Amino acid sequence: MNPTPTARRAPLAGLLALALLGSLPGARAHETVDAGPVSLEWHTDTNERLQVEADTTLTLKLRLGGRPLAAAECRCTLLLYPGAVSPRVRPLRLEPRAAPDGALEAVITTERAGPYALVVDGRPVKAGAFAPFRKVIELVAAEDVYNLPAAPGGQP
Amino acid sequence: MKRFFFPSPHHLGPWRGQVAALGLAGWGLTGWGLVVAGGLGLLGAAQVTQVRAWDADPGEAARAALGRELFYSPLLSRDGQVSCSSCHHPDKAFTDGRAVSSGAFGRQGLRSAPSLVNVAYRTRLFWHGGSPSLELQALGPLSDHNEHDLRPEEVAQTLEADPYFSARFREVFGEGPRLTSVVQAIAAFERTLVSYGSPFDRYSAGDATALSPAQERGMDLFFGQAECFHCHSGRHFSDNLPHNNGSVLFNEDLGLAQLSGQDEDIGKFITPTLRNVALSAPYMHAGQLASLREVVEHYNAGGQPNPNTDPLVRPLGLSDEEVTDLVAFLESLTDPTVATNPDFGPPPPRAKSPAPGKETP
Repeated sequence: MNPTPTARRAPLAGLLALALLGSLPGARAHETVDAGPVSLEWHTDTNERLQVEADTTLTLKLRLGGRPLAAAECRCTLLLYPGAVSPRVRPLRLEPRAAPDGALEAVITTERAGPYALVVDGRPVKAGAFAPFRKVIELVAAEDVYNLPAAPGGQP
Repeated sequence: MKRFFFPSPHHLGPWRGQVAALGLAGWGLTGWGLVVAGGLGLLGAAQVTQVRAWDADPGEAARAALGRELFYSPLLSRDGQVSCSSCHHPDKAFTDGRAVSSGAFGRQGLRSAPSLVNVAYRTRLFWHGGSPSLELQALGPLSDHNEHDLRPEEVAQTLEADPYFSARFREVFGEGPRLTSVVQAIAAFERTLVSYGSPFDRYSAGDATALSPAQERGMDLFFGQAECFHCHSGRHFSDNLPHNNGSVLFNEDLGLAQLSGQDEDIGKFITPTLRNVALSAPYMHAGQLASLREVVEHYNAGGQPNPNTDPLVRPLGLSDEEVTDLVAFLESLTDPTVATNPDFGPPPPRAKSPAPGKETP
């Protein structure tokens, strides 16, 4: 059966919407860092925020083509930038550890409220296992992490 | 024209007047390009089919000989202890074996001394590429507080006060020392530091036995899987372009951005030559890596995740054996005679001072 004109337009509209999203300033970083077969699920134990002047545990679950990618398979570097990623800013290098379920965990302590950018730079331990990737996660640090509007951007 | 092709008057600071005297002020690449293009156009319009080459400049050898004496003389420094050769030793391919160099009164600089072998063929000097000529480049270390630490007027005054050099300048230039003639002489000597006697050169010339099997395998990696050739290209193994090679996570040294002010230029440095690289450890702009193996392992790991790291720097997937082979190839780019060539070393002891006031026409 031939597709109806509406059905033909639907994929086109989807592509246009994706292109438009990609052109938005706020979406640009996501578009770049989310390329590649590795997906990343993250969360913090403080309402998806960073608790100022207290430890926040960040958990990262990696997936490669839909299957879990164990922390031991990735040489992952986690860098925290106050504000946005910039070559003018010295990042804090986090010390991630492997959780029992294979996820990556890192403890973050921030001194000031405001936006932060977490860079997840991953390279395969076994050469060729996956393409190196670099993702930027936007985080917000607050003194009261439970009385704020919904986290911006959501999870990638 | 981008600013880094030619230092602006602001960057030249106290040397502005001397740069103007060199006849270089205001000439960027665009200006030279116009001159060359215009000249070729005129030749074409006149249907000139034969071009007579200029005779070799007989004065160049004399200037180089004087430049060699200046290069090895500690006279041109605030504390009388620092010469060009303090940071550029022939036995280290004209580097100094230190992560960063030290100058007058032992002050530490910020960057590693680059090799001077075949420097005549480099089009952008200094690690950030801010000088297009050896003459302009020489002004930098002479004035740098952490190097020779002299004011412009002190350079000529110091040499004029020295009977030997005062007379030598009159012999070579027909007048007493001037800042412009000082840098011309030093540059003339630096242009004599030419070397193409490495095993790789012999191999390239047809001697198939010049490289070991490991070096041949390393060469294949260099031009293949490791893709080193993108930046280390051409006869001198440098594209003469600025790159951030991810040698550090955060660049305290701005590199090219020191001239351009652009964020994307932070941490970019001109690709160094690989010739004689076995003699020029430690490596990178501030000597961050001690050995060639560390350098190859750095690139094999994909460099540091610096925001400006060049996309060409990415994990290579080389095995330990391949890393060894690549190091072996890099070592084949070294001409051992650089360290022993008597023409590169200190000048012969002075037999006697030249006759004061002797001038050449």
